[in-house]
Amino acid sequence: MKNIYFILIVAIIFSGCKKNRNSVSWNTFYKLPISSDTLNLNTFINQDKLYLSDDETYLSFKDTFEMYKLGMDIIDQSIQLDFTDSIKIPSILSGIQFSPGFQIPYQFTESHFFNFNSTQLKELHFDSLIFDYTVESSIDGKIDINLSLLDAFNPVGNNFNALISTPISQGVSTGKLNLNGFKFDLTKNGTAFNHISTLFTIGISSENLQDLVFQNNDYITIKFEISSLKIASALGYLGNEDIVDTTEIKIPFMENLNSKNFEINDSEFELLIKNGIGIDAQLKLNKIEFKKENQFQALDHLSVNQNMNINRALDLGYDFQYSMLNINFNNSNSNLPQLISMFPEQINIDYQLITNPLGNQSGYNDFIFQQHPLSLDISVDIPLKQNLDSIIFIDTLNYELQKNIVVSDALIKLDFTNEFPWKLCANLKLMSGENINSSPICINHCQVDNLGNFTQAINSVNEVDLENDLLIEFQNDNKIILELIISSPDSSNYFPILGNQNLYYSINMDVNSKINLN
Amino acid sequence: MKYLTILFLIITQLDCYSLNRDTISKKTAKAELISSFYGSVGSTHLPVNFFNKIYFGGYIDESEKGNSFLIAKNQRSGFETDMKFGVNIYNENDELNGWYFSIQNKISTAGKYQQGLYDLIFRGNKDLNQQISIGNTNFHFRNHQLINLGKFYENFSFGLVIGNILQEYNGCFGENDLIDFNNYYNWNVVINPNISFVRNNNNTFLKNGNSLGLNFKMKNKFKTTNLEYEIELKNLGLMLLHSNVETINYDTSFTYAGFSFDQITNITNFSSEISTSFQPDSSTNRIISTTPFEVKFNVVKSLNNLELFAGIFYRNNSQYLPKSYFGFNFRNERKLNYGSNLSYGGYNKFQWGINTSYHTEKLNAQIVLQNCIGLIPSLGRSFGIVLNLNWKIR
Repeated sequence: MKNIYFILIVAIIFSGCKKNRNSVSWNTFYKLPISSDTLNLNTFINQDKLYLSDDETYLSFKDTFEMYKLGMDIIDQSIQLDFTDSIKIPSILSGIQFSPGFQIPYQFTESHFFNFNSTQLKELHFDSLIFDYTVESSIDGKIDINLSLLDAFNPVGNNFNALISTPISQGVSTGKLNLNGFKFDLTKNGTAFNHISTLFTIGISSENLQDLVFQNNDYITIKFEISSLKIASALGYLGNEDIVDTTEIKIPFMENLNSKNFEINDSEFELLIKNGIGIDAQLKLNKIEFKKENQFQALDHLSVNQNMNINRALDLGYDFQYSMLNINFNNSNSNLPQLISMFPEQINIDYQLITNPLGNQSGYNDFIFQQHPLSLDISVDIPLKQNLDSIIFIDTLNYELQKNIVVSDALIKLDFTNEFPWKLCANLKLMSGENINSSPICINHCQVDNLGNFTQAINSVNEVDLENDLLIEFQNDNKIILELIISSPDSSNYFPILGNQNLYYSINMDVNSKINLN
Repeated sequence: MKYLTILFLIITQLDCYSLNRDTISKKTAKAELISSFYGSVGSTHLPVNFFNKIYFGGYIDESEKGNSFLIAKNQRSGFETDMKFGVNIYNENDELNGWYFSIQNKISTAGKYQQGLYDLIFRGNKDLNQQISIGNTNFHFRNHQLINLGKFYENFSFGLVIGNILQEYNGCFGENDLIDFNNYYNWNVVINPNISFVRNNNNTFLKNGNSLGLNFKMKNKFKTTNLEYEIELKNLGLMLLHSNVETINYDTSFTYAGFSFDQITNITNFSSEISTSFQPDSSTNRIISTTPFEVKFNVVKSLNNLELFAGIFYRNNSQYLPKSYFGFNFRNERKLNYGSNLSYGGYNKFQWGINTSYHTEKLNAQIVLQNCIGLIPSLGRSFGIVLNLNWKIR
């Protein structure tokens, strides 16, 4: 009997040991604030880009966007400063014993002329310049080499000097030279262009343990190669370049926008050509295309496919003057406003730029500074006085819901107070395309007077009851498609907007959920 | 039911062992192997079923979430286990004096909070359109390995407790901390937590904290009145958290009415409404505090086969409410004792416990059930069990 009791006890205890622990779960009912905010123009546009109209009835958006910039890249490709110096030990020194530390009383100089294509420079100033050097020696001992670049000056006017050494015995050694901030005089005392001279003196390194004897035909070769460079400025003749290229300006945000009609009252666009380089140039905009969903539409304007002469900038020492050329686009001289209203996702500018089209007109006095490029900017002046018809904004919103919270049912409460002359209707769709809301969630436009001016805010309250099968997909997808349709109150007026108009909203949710903890 | 069956089987088979008692020769014991297990769970408002689900898993239904109380009512819940194995080594021919050594693992977790905070987590805020105070909320979780060693005499024992702290979490909130749900969708939060963590590390012996304490026990008997008293101090000392101490400590208040437009769309990049980092900070600071020591005072009055007893019990640095108790033990002639007690305190309040013990020359076994009502998990709010098994080597 005892044994049976014992076996029973053990069996009961072991049967009570669970091998797999289930998750703990419970039901909760929360009233959750999801999002609330006050939106106005300043939410999306910096205040300093918004200007009040003269009659103080509407705001205008004014900004300048850079479309294209040409700077040091017009000479960067041409500047090749790699060179090699060879020091041949005079035969008169061969056979003589030199003790460590002895300075050989000879100077070795070399001149280097560089080919920068059509560019002939008098002066080059580097923000940064690093040379890699390789020293090869046939001498059986270590030689110290004092290198001077007589035409390179640091900001206080001193020459560049560096001590480099050969290997302790025959072979190769390497190193780097830092010439950051140095300015090169490339004129060889006013007699040439694109020139650098080097000066070497050599000595017997004190690291040698015994006297050194030169052999006949002993030599040292030093190869200099640019490791990195950044040019701050250049002076001389910058050459005659013919640059043909296409610039693509992508506007990804526009991919989400479509419209039946989008009209802006008296908008103005201006192409600003601003030349900060001391060269004359000729620009031809071969073609400007606006792309939307693989459809291209060309800009019509007198300036397209015409040569435009751009004057050089002036550096007066005490004053720097850009050369400016402005081309105006508006409703009467181009189709640009129509092209803007298609919400282009890409703009392609096919252009040709010829530098110094008439050759060396400045007499080697072209200049270029890092901080003064040639740029093409577009300036926009858009009065926020518009008429919209079914502008459609589509976006995919990503979210991540806690996987351990299973929502059984949910009621989303939306409360909007709208002071804008826009009616907004939203559709929320699952990735499968199924609508979450059975009918569009609409926010009515504010009340307006006969001129379209704001008179009174309108409150809109909506509730969306999420059904269980939609919720499962909603929780699994982690993505939702938002389709927003924006329209003006009518099609006859331009509706002005001021900075004090707001859209107040709050989105709350009553959610019955099951929480799982593993 | 499982526990009742075990208890029933143990009690009914004890007589079988006692049949051979006269065959044991009466020698002086050289040593005694001791083992004890203590497990307890309790709450002022949650049924034992709730803890079953938390531990074993499963769906906690509405009846298992406990009764609804006023949201300002202070509640406490806790769980603890204490396992100990060791040996008493007696002096030669003397079973009253000797040395003791044991290793012990104590795990406890407990919290003190207002009903509203519990409701917020387990029921939601649907019925909480008012202010919840979290100012009295505090909690702890600890897992300590202890080595006890010392000397015992007939009426007195003392020794050292050397502790390796595997985990030690402590937290409390500012006195005026609150979450205001007066408007369901516009929450006002005032929060000033002070939480410290020491997590376990992979090193077997060198942990992130250590403790050193004293054990002390004294008992005496007034022979004329058959009254015996006992005072016991366990692990009175200091605890040093010296490495990898993490803290969450800030003082903030904010109104939460949902995320702002830029936070949910990333169209613009405005500063966050909530700028406080809720991540724990690693601290190079050390924390010194008193150990979670225990104090017990017990008096026993013997009347023939009946022992009446009463006492108080206190545990430091815990959410454990000081416990007072009284009860009786009945000694029959068959080496089987049993008794019952009523107590107030701990993680619950009133508890009705029963106990039984069995003694032979070699064996000393004891089972204590701390709250009989807890045997019905849907009714009881606490359940505790003590198992002691000692074996004398002669």
